[in-house]
Amino acid sequence: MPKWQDLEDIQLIAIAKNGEAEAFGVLYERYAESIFRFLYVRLSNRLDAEDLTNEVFMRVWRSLSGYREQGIPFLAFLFRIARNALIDHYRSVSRSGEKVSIDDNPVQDLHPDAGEAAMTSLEHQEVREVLDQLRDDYRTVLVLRFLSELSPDETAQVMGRSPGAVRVLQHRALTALRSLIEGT
Amino acid sequence: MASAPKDIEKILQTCLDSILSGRGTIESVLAAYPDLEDVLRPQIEAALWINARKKMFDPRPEFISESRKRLESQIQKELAKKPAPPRFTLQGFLQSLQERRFAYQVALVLILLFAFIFISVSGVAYAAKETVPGDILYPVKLMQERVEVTFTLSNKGKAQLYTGFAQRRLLEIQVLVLEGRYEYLQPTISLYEDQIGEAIRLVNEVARNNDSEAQPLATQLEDTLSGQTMVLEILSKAVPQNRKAEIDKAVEISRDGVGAMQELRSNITPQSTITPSPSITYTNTQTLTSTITPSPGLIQTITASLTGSPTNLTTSSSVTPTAIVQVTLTPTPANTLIPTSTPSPTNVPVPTRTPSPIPTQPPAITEIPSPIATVQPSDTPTPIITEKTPKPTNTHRPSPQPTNTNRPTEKP
Repeated sequence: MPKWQDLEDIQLIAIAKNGEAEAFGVLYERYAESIFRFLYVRLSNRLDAEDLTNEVFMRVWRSLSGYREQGIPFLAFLFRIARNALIDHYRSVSRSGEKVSIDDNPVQDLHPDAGEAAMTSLEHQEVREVLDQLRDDYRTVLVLRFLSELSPDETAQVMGRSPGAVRVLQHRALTALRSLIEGT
Repeated sequence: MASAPKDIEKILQTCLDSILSGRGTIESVLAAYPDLEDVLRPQIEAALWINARKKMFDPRPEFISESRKRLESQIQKELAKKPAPPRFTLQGFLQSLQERRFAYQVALVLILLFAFIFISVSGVAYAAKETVPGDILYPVKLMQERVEVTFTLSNKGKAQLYTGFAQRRLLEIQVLVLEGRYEYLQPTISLYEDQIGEAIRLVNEVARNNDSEAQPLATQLEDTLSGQTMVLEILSKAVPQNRKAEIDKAVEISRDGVGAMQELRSNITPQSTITPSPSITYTNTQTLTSTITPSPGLIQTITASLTGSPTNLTTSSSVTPTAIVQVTLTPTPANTLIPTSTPSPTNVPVPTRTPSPIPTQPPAITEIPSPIATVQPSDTPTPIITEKTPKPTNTHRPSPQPTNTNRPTEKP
């Protein structure tokens, strides 16, 4: 009898659609780390990133009945929901008074109280500040490739571009990153 | 080793894959591309800089396993909330019917709403039919015409539509003149010109593709325009002097159209193949137009009467200051008047006024002037006319023999 971990995404999705929570749990374990990094690099608060990661997977579960493999790959589907969840998070924060936008300034400290600020390491802050200065598509390609550790093909799927376009984008993003690093 | 600039992205990708998978170091991969070291090294270092900081974005070690349990339990709760698929029961069926009743009611309201809108639109469209320029609903009439053209696919159909529209414009021009609303004459005549031009263009288009369809189409348009020319000539004499030029322009337009159709027909069918035959149509036209006497200034009434027999047709017109346009035609030759035998061309009564009949074309019933609406001769003979129509014999067909004039009579 095969283990859950041996099953392909598409098989797990089909089982999860039939109401098997454990199958979806396996998918969660497979991708939660990538999603967490993708979110955390845009948030200053680890707890926010954790909550949002859970929120993303609950959204995925609720939309799973409408998901078709022929439409978009599961990974792209997952990151699209993560991006939407992030935008919704910024909106809810901005409604509470702070101005944040995913494209304008996504890595502001959302809860700048003393305790949380202390938890945020200086290096973490430095990376966020550097990435924050990049164009949105440069930042996305670097985060997906080197933090979420997606392959070039997976990155292309998530970004909705061809692998060739992603290679070019990565090349330019690294050039821009290098000049920023040298400047700091 | 020289590489084209476009390969740099691929080489960079290869180097990064090798380093990130642990198969190589920065020095080992750069050794393979010594010429590109200056370009590749800063990029690889930048990639390694961000990759080295990946750890600080890792989740807490226990987070994934804990949150997975939490997620699964949350999913189980949601699943438990979802009702099981309903089994078929009579009660359930009745309940679903009850629920559907609301949907049916909504559908009924929507249907009634659409019916109301449809009836309203139809009513407006119907009311717009009788409008003339300057009326509130006149734009609706023009819009209807555009819709008709849009939904007519064939050039033949469109040509017939435009011919009909031109006829409508002519009727509108007559009403405008009779009601003294001269300010709308100019735009109506412009529209008339456009529609005739479009009809001619489409007939030519049909002729280019299919000669057999073009012939009757050209004849129809020519007949219509001939009749319109007559009416416009009468109107030209009836309008005030300062409006005459506008009507004369319309006369020119319709005459040009007749000429264009004659030319087209002559190109379609060789003239020698058709036997010349006489036509009484233009004799009547001559009589009608020559006897009308417009009063100076505003025209109030045009009374026209056509009297005569198939062999003796006279028409008289007079202008009287009443608001009624009356046309009496007694009798008008019916189909039986059309000579089908081959008369001698020397005996043919010669039309004295344009448009002159083409000898190659047998006179059609549509060429006979008869009343349409106000002063326009109609295509349809009245019952009175048919009563007085001489019956043709097998060997002898009556032909127009004007007795009151010095026209030559025809001997069969």
